[in-house]
Amino acid sequence: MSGFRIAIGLAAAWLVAGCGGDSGPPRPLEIGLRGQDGSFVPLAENDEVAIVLGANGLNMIVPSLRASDIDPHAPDPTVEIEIGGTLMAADIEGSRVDMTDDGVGYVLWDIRTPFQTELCCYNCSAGLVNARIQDASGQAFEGSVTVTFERGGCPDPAVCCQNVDVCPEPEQAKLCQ
Amino acid sequence: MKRSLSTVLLSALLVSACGGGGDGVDKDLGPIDDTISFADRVNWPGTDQGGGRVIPLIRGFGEGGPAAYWFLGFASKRTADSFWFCREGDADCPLDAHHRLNWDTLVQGPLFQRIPGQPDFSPFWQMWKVTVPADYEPDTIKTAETLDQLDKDGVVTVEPFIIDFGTRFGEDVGFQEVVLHCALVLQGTTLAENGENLPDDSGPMLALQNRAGWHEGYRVEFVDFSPSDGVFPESADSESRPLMRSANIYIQWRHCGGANSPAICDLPGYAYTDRRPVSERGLGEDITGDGDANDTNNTVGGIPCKQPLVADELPYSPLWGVNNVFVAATADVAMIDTTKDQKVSDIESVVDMFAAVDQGDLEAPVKATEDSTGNPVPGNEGQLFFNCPNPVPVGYVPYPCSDNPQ
Repeated sequence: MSGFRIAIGLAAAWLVAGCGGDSGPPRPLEIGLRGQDGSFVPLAENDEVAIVLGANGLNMIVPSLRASDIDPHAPDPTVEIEIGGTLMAADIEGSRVDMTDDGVGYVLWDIRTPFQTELCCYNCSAGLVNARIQDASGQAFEGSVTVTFERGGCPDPAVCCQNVDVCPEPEQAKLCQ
Repeated sequence: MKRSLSTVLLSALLVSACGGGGDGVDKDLGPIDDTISFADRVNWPGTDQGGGRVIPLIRGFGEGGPAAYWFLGFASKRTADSFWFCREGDADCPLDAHHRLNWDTLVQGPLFQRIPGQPDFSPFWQMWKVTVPADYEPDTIKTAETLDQLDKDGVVTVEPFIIDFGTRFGEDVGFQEVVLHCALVLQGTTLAENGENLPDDSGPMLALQNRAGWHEGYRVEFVDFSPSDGVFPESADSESRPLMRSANIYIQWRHCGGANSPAICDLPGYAYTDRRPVSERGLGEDITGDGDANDTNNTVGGIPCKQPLVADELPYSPLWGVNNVFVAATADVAMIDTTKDQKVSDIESVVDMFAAVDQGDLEAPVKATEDSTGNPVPGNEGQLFFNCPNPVPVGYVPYPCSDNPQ
């Protein structure tokens, strides 16, 4: 399946999200996780990010976003994950909440971002996380980071596909040995 | 009738983006898929695979043996409105004598008032019967606006569809508004293993079909579950509009961290460290070694057309209220994670389960109210519900149940 290429997906998402004002180029947006102590922990290139199973039966990651000089009132975030040229995950549209001040910037916490493919197509794979927020003033904030998705350590041979058809693209399938 | 058509259609028009064609014939606006962003796809059932989107078949246990269900994700007791087109005087429309959609008599694809992702969407539909004249051209009406106009003009009539359900699993139901299960899906979505062997290897399952309908002028595809699920009377706690009936599913868990922590506690990757579901889907791997990762020890309270084995259990419904059941820390209960066999467990029915509860081997079931990240589930009075229809054998009819082999 090649219908979900990143360019098409991002263009559609940006068109949906980007109907606001004319406020100049996007400003930086950090992508991170909620740490053990509740603080915002920024993700660095090649970090590992834990996959968790959502009650809707889809595996997901739960990133948070942080920006400075942003209007924190109920922004509309977009988070998408591209692996091997295929869009595999996007955030769930939820009720909008305010960002909270953590002393460094404003944080939008715990954005549930489920994968729409089987676990064996992305577990222990590197992927590009793209995030964008447009605040109430129309100012856009963007960030991206490449991370590896894992459910408890890699390599993880127990997570495997029975055949290549399980994944959108055959080369994404980690076949059972 | 609890609500008038005008009330229903007014609410539909308030959320509809496009009007009719102006000449009484609605335009075909193309597939709804063309309007859906990648992010919005998550609201539609299934996952993307090489051949298209697939709805997984999950294995568990029913009334003392293997059972299975297609997992379509979150659901709710609420219903949405759907409109089914029949010719004047056709008593075999919209349902046949077995309470299945009668595609030989239906004049055109139905109108669905909601799609996945919209706030009031539900795959459980209140049925409205639209009676059209003999000269009605199929698919003239594709929007609520045109339906409303032609109803006002006296060209068609629209009524809540009500049938006599008689006695149902010992309950005197009688005449009730009809609720139907149709899962709206993205184009080409398939049910995994549709038409293949039943989970107990008793024979092939009845293959279900995708059908076509309309939503505000857009083409939508849906899985017609009426050959297996039939139709349902509204739930007894319905008020201003019908609610869907629900049944119970019991999700088996093991505690982790004790002196005799079970082996599945050593598997990585689950959000909680103090518990593990006895579920390959939950654990993310094939713990029975049978070549798939869809086995669970989940136990359903009822199966289609069967009286529940436990007196207080609700009869089968594809809408499952989720209950969590934990093996007591000190108990020795064999389930699929220890038998390594999807078909062998100490808990193969609700009878087994409640007996184990009485013996202290299982803790009492607790209704699930939070998702896996600990967030409360909105609506449903806080309870978590899944949409999980069961496959049935070839030749099965949903009504009357006595027509099936006993």
